[in-house]
Formats: sequence, C-alpha cells, structure tokens
Amino acid sequence: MKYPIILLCLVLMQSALGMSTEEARHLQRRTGFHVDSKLTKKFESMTREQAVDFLMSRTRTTPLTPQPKWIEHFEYIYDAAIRMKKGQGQKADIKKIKQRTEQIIALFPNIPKPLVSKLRTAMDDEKKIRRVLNMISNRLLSKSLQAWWLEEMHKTESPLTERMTLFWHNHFATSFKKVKVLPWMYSQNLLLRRHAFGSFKDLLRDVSKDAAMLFYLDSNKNVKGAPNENFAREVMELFTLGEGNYSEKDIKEAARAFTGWNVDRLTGDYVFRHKQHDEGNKTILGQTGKFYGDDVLNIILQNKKTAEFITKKIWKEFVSPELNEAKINAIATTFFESGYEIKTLMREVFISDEFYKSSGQLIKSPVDLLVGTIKEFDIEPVNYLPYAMMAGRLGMELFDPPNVKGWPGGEKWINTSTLLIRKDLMTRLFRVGEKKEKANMMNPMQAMASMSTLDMKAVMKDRTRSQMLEEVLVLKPVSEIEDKKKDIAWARQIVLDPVYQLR
Amino acid sequence: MKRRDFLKTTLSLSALCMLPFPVMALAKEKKILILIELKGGNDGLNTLIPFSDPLYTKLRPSIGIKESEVLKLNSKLGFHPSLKFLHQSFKSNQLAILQGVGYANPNLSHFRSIDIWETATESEEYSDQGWLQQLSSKIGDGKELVKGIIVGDNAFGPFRGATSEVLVMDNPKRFLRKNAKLNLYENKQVLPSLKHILDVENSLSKTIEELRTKTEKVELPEMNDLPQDQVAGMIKALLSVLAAGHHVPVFKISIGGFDTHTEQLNQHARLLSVLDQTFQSLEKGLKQIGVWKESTLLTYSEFGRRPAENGSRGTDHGTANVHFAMGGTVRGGLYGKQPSLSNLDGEGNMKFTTDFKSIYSEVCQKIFKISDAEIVKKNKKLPGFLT
Repeated sequence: MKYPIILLCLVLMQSALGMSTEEARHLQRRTGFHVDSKLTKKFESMTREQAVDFLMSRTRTTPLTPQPKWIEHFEYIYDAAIRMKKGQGQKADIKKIKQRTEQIIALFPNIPKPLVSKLRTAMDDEKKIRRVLNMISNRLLSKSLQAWWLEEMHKTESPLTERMTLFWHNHFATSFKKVKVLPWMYSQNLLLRRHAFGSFKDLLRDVSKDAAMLFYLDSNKNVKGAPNENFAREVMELFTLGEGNYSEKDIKEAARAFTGWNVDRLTGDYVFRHKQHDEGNKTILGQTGKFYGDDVLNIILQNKKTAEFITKKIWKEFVSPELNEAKINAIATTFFESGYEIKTLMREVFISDEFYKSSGQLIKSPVDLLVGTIKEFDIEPVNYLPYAMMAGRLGMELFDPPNVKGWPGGEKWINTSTLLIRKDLMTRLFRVGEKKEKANMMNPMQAMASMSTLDMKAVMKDRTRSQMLEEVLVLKPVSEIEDKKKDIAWARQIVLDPVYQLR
Repeated sequence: MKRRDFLKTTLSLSALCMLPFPVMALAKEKKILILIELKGGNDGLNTLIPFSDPLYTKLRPSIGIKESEVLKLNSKLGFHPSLKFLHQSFKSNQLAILQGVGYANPNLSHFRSIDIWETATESEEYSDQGWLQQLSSKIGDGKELVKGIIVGDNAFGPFRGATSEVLVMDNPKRFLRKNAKLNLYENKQVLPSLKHILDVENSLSKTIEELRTKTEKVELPEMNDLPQDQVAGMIKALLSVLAAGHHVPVFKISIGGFDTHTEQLNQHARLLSVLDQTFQSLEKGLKQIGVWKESTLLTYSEFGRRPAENGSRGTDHGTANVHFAMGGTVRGGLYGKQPSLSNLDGEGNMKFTTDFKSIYSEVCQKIFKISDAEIVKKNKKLPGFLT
C-alpha cells in the first residue's frame, strides 16, 4: 500500500515542478531539429523557465564549423581582379590568380570537366575573371557555402542558434545571385549569428551597413539628387515597421537621409561618402531634422510598431501561423521595454502557454526536414553538398531566398512537386539493402542516399518502437503503421506518414 | 479503406450519377495556352532584324546578320536565317510578331527579371504568386486534369505559389512510375497544417490515377522532325498528355542557353533553329491530335539583349524584345512598334513599346474569358493578336 502512494506523490511533485514529456519534446522540436531522449529527461526535471534559460545559456555567437577553404582563394582572386580593373594590378597577378584557381579546383573533385576547362582558360583574360568567378559562384561555391551551413546546423550543440540565424537570414533576406561576392554572404551569416540573441538595435544597424545588404538593396546607388528608394522602402516595410505604418513620403525622405551610404568594392567595408549625402532637412514619421541614415534607424526603433512587427514574425516562425494578437502585443511590449533584447523576446515566447499548445501547427521547411532526419536517425553524411542541392530542389536555396520578402514558407513548402520529392527522398534514404553506388553529384537524390549511412540497429538501441514513434511524430500517424516489419521498413512508414512533415 | 477501393467506389458512384443526366456544361471552349520560355534572355535584335537601319550594322559590326541572309518580312524587317518555318508562317498569316515587349524601369538581373515576368508585377513590386496562379480559379472549366503542367523544370514559374492543381514533370510515363506510392486519405482534419498536406497528397493521388488510366495506352503521333535539344522531350511529354485526351489549360516548356555573352553567332543560330522547329513540331503534333484550333503558343524571356555587341562578339543583358504567338486563336501579323536604335536608355538599351502585361491581359480576356482580373483592369490597351 505504501509504495504506490509514495510513487503517486513523486509523480505529482514531478509534474508540479517539471515539464511534461510532451512539453519537453515540443520545446526541442521548436528550438532544435529533433527530439533527444536524454534532453527530454533533463527537461522533465526542470520548469519551463529553467529549461529555456538552459537553452539560452548555450547559444553561440560563432560557428563551430571552420570557414570553407575556398573563401580565402576567392578573396585573393576577387581582390586582384578589382585592382586590375582599376589599373592598379600587374601582369604578374595573373600567375597567382591561376594558382589560386587551381587550389579551388583541387577542393572540388566533382567539378564537371567543362567547367574546369572554362575556369582555366578564362583566368588568362583579365576581362573575364569576374564573370567566371560569378559562374563558379552560382554553380559550385554557393552550394558549398550552403553545405557549410547545413553542417553547422547538424553539428552544433546549440541548434537554437542556427534556427535564429536562419530566421534573421530570412528576415534580412539577401541573395548571392545579386551580391555575387560569396565571402560577403559568408560574413553576413557570421554577423547574423553574432547578433542572433543580442540586441535587435545592434543587429539592425550592423546588417544595414553590411556589404551584402548595401549591394542587395542598392544603397551604393542611392546618391544625393538621384535617390534610390530600395533600402528605405524595405527597411520600413519588411525589416521593422511593416506595411501601413509609414507613408510613401516617409520612404522618399528616408531615402534622402540614407544617401552617402556606400561600400568599398575591394574590402566590402561600409563607407560614408560625404559628397553624396543630401544635407537638407527631412521629415520622417513626424520628426524633422538634417537626418543621416543612423537617425532614421533610431526613429524607426522608437516606434513600438517595430517591436510588434518582429514579435509577430517570430510567432509565425516559432509558434503558429495563427496569430494570438493579445499575447503577441503583450510580448512585444516586454520586448520593446527591454530595449529590443532578443533573448527577452524569445524567452517570453518559449515559456508561454500558447507556445505549448501549438504542437503540429508548423510545417517543416526543407532544412527542418533534412537536418531533422539526419539528427533523428543518426545519419552521418559523408558530404553535405547533396543535402544542400536537395534543399534547393525542395524550394530552399540557402543564401538565395526568392526575393527580399524571404521564403513564403508555411503551407507553401508543400506543393505537388515538393511533396513528391520529399516522399521520394524518404523512400530512398530508408531503403532496405540500398546498394552503395558511387555518388553522382548531378543527381542529389542518388548522391544523398549513397553518401549517407543509416544504422537502424544503433538508432533503436536504447528506445522502444513506441517511444521512437512518439519522438519522431508530433501527432498520431494518419497512415496505418504495420508493426510486423523489420526496423528500417517500419521506420520508412513513419517518415512517409504525412505527420512527419509537421513539427 | 485502401486507395484503389476508394477510387473504385467513387468512380462507379459518379458513373452511376452521370448516366441519367447527360449534363452538358455551358460550352466553354477548352483552350490551351502553351508557354515557351527562352531562358537566359533571347537576342531579339538578331531574331527580328531591322536590316535597313544603318545603326544596326554600326552597333553590330561582327555579329550583325547581313541583309542578304535575312528572311525578309517587309522593306525594313526580316528574320534570322534560322527561322524558316516561322518565316513561312508569317507569310501565310499564321504568326503574330509582338515587337518591343518589355516593362518600365527594367531590371537586368536574370533572376529578378524573370520574377517580374512570371509574377506580372511592376519592376519594384514583389509577389509570391505567379500571374497564372493569380488567375487560377478562373482558368479551365472544372473538368481539367490540372490547371497547368510545367514540363522539364522544377519550379512552378508563372504558377509559383500554387500548392496543388499544377504538376511538374519530365515525361508522363516516368512521372507515373516514380509516383506509385501515394495514398488517398479521408481528410477530416481540423489542424490546418495537416489538412493542407493531406489535401495536396489526395489531389495528387487523384490526378495521377486519372493520368495513369488514360496515358498508359497512348500512341504518340509520328514525330520525326523534333529539334535536337532537350526541348524535344518536353514537346513529346506535352503532346502525349493531350493525345491521351486530358484537358490541361496551360503548359510551359523551355529552351535554355540564350544568355549569349560570347561568340554568339553559331550558338544563337542553333538556338533559333531549335525555336523554329519547336513551333513546327508543336503545330504538327497539335493538329494531328486535333486541338490546334484551341491552342495558343506564346514565347517569353526575361529580357532582350543590348543592341551594341560587346568585346567578345556576344551581347549583354538588354531590355525590349520580340516575342511570337501562333495557334488557332492567333491572328497573324506585326504588332506593336519596333523600338528605335537611336533613342536608347542610359545603359544603351532599347526602350520598350509594348508592356508584356498587356499581352497577358489579352490572353486573360481572349483565351480564358476573364474580364474582372486585376491585370485586365490595369492593362486596357491590348496588342490585338488574338481573335
């Protein structure tokens, strides 16, 4: 008689103090890419606040994965090409450019042969260097940069850091296709991670003056007398206030205030060109003065609509597409009053009741699906390139969102084309006795399968099938899961179930 | 319930219902729009050539087409020698030539400019919805297989933003083989995310089943003059879907390689003969299937190319361009105005004379009988190339 009572007391105490198993799993799915049984146990002994503080204490400001090796070579070639164009280069540079080109080629044993010969011959002609650099950037190096980030997402101990960096990448969207200088996309990524959980004020200021952004939104073309409104418009519409909270006049005036902002083509550093700056008075959101660009950002930040806009977007990304206006406004107020501390904002979201009632309301992005699958099933990719290509096929080219609005996301991730690819991919990864053919890099599906090892025995070692099912699927499966199957075939049914697409 | 059983029941039920009521839907014609994307930006000035303009030869000393080689249309304009079939078609009043097509504040980036074309926005606007997706609910008669099929491409292009009712495929047989593992679910989900996924999977299952039953037995018409290019496979795919008796209001196929920055003479000649043969084989195939009368072929491309040749005997990104339309719905002739070579913009590009959105507007009204769409209201002046 005694023991059951003690046991009952223990269970009650536990539930009073700690998170439920479901809550512990939910927190992991939303702040990371998968559910880890050990972490679930840990969270079960913690309150929501403790668990969230634990996650926050682990966030990083730098990546774990080393910088891709070609970046240094790229920078050298780029630098030399720009100098030669300016007439500062010497003929001897051509030889060094060729050496660097060979070093890049050596890094990618899978470069298609025609591309290699194109690269080699083009480096003879200084006029063609930039164009060829763009060509390999588009076709090869961009994929490698995407692979670098996917590796970081996979290996980091703070997946929340990567989720947040990805959120900011989608928010302050820029694309290598316009920016073209890939090292700038890389350094922007470092910037976003550095500020991911810092102050939104700092983030906004720094990302606005970042090379990739200055190029992407034409700040370099915004000069006194001939303003280019691109940045002024998007900073208000998409980065801070949101549509309806400013006028066309505000944009025009702000564009004048931003004149003079430019970028050093050689170093990628922000420069202010006094001669190009419009010194006159500007009236922006009701305030008048001889404003500079930084003043505009400050005026925008003084407006609480900015905190509301960011909070709403965080809600859509981390909680649900259904907006709880009252809760969002309350969190936005806290965020605003904290002076835009991102940690405060995220903490409020992750401890809210609404957050824990939103299981399954989000659809996995291609990155969620890919990184989630390799983490959930301990798949060890030999090479992340085919994963990067696969994300592209599924509609998510990292460093290349479709436009400044970012990826539409949500339900748009799943259409007749991407659903089939997602299913094909799962079938391929969870195939019994998959023959390991040589990877064909032109066929990401085949390359992924042949470069990934799935050891179901190890995956199932410390967990029962029913535990696994609950960890992998956020809701009960909608298809019939037959139990009388070998582990891999059994697991395949789970990853093919529509519920596997949710988180 | 297993998928096949479910389908059997629904099919036989609907068959029973149909019998006593041979409902004739108000005869809405089954129009077919076939879009041909010329990827990379076609050099319109070496496609439709203003051979009598001395500026043409001056701007293009090494890549200009000689007057003696031009297939003349009138005293000023002529076709590139590769366009033999299109030349014939123009003379027999079958081909519509749309001149000077472009838009205000042109963007010279491939990616951004094709976005503008495919979403039908102004140069500074962004939309996640393709222009045909915006009209999707008004396209078709409800009995179509899907609203559109994108052949040989992964992206939805002008249907971007769609989640169902649009398919992408290389060829129908391979598509059917690959996609055998779909389910049909009873979908009473209240959770929007899950409901959406089941909706997409269900609609795909039904479409594939329908495609399968008809397509497996199809014999394609004899095609022996297909272009030597990847587009040949796309043409076959498109024709085999139609030959199976499916109705699909929109197809998109594409020809790649038009970004001719260097040594473009031979390259461009080849590309244009691929384009020429694409029109020829589509006309032949569609006529054999018996759907030429309701078909419209229409080209598009992100931009034209710069009038002045560059230093590598190629051309850089430009603006205004020439486009073609042909089919049972098309009134042959020259439309719009050829842009002037003496009045170029700051980048040395031609100024457009016809907004591409007015072409779309006409397609909406004449082909799909849509009069209340935004694009129609905003673009009232039509080129007039459709009957």
